Amino acid sequence: MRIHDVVLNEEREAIKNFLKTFDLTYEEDIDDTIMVTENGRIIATASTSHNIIKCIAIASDYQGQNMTSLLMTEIIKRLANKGINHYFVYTLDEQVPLFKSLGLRPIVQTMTLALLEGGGSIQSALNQLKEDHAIDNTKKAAVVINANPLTLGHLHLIETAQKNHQHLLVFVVSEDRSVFPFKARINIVKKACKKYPNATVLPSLDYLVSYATFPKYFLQKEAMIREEHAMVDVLTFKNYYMKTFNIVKRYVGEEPISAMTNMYNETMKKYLNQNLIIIPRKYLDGMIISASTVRKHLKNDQQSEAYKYLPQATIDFLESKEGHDAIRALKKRDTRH
Amino acid sequence: MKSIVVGSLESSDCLITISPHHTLEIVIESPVYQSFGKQIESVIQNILNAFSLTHVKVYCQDKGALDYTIEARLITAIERFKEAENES
Repeated sequence: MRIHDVVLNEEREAIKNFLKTFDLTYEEDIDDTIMVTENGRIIATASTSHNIIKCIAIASDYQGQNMTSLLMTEIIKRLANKGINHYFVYTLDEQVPLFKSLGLRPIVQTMTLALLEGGGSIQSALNQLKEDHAIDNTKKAAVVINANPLTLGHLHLIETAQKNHQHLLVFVVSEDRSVFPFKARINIVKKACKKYPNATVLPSLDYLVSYATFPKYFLQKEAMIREEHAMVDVLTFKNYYMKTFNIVKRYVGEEPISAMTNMYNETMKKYLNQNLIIIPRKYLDGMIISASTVRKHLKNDQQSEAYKYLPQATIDFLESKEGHDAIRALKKRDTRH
Repeated sequence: MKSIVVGSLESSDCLITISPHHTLEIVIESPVYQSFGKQIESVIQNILNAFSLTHVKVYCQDKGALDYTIEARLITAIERFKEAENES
């Protein structure tokens, strides 16, 4: 039996075919893959995409022989080598006991899948965050934004929420996969929120992930993937963020154009009920304000068009050297984010 | 500095991750935590004391390892950790 890294294209093709026999797809955002072979035959594989462990499969005649322990040990060592000590596994519900026995902790479970973590615990991470920002136990409202980049629409949401509550928490998605780096995104939000003394800007940490990062390889239908992603995200928010910070209302913008985000809002409504407040989106000259429209304009060199939708803090950033770099990166990308 | 990982997740073994930290922190995940959590912690604490380590996080994913297995894994981890510290 040999364990080795998948480096050659033909090896990767072999892994793809191996996964196919389990109805699993090899995801495009994978950085590293390992495989276990015996007499030249692939018997097991696992992959990572940044801090997410995915595409784990074991040949049926090798199941029940602790192959998962072997794969996980190897993967954890490789992650540590890259400086990653906090990692996640999304898996089917029935596999939870197996991963629990390997020292991973379940975060949330839906009817279909579960999210587990290793090397950290969501509760202690949130307690730490609360302590670092000296947040008290009074009732609060919250918004979660990616702010890629921050628009007047986001600010409208923040302004409405802070007007109705004594204290507002603004979570900025920490995941660094957007065109605008996390540091830039949160700094812009902090600057723009200075005028609201009752708003605290916080990183969302690694727990609220975008749809792009959410593993899809073991779920077959697009609609189901969407719903599962929304459920995991909403349950994590409800069970941990709302409890830890005493959040009583979450504000979101309505989604009149994107059916996908609208479905996300529907799922949120189902789980948060009266704790969710959907506010109408802000329009400018009959056009809805959205970060994706802004990115489209920036991409097409229509700076002044984009600026119409942006607060001063975002414009200042775009005018800086870092801002120029971000726009250049944006022009090279062809994905939605 | 990177973390050092030693051991495995095989039955009767443990996987130990040691990383630099602002205080001393020991985190244990074990299927026998109820019965042996305290004991595992004291085994780890004793070794850390012997090496005078006060600013590390030790994360132990235990799979029912005996005390001397944990000791051996931890000592190896500490030695590699110190080596890496000297290199950087």
